[in-house]
Amino acid sequence: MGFLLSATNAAQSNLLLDVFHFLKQEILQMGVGDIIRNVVDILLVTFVLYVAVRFLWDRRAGKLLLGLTVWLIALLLSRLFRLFAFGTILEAITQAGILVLAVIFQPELRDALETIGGVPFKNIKNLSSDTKNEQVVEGINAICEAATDMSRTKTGALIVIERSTKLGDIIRSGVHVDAHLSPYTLRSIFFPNSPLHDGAVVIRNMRICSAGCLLPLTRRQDIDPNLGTRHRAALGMSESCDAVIVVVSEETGTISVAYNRTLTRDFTSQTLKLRLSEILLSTAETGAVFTEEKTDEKE
Amino acid sequence: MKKNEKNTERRFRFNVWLMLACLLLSLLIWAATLYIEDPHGLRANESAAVDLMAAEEFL
Repeated sequence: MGFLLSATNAAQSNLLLDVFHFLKQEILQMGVGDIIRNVVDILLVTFVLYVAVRFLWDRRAGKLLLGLTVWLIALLLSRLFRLFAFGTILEAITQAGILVLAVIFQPELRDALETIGGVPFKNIKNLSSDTKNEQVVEGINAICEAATDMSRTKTGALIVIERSTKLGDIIRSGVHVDAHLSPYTLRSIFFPNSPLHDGAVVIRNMRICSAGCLLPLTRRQDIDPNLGTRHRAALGMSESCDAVIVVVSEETGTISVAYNRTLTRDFTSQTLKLRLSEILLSTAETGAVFTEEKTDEKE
Repeated sequence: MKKNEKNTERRFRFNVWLMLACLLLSLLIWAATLYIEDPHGLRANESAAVDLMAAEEFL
């Protein structure tokens, strides 16, 4: 066994030396034109990889992306080490896999192509993250309209808008919805006695991601004793992440906003819109409202 | 606001590391494809030279 391992190691190190010498010879033979062409080639591949990773990462396909990466590396290594049988199987599955991926990611591919085709070149960065102010403004309008309507009818509501801190655990505690964010959808969810009216709605990337979610309650003792569980849950949520939480009281119809460990009450439709715009639009350009990474920081 | 600034900084660092990782991966892909494609036939010439030497030895 030791002999086989050392033989394998020797073969691999020979191959690596072989590749190294080959590349050295190739680079030494290159003219200026060839060097520029290869640099452009590398930069283009880097750009495509970066955009693809960001694109899939924003769509919660991180694990799928990891799997694809491992698959591609295996394919590349099989060709490098001339593992013909293994490589043939991988290539056969890859050809079918490409079609499967196109079917799975059809909505995302459509979005991506529309983004490339419909905007100037400088906005191609939007392909990797949906940092479009229009989407955020639309979302804010929908939330404000829904909150105002529910305040009028004294319908209790708890709406969490995810930002840079991922709320995977909170989302998983509820029912996966993945619906377009509109005032009608929000009102339907919080309609009294509807199946999902209990719990919070989590909005991710300006879409209703999940409903009926459980939020952590605040442990603070110094808050107004008149505040019910809904407000405590909103405050508790704001203490553990950077999300914005909109609360509509079932008793009084008051609209409140919990953000950064603070609960502010008595919002009107206009002031709510202003407040949400202040928080969400200022960070839309940096992508905070479209989650990118998990922060472990807790103040 | 302070938390927002820290988040912005973290996101920036994440993007920088991601870009570097993509650059490294693209360098590997470039090296591997160059080796496999062998556009200037360097490997083919080398193996042909080795075959020629072996044939000469045999003769």
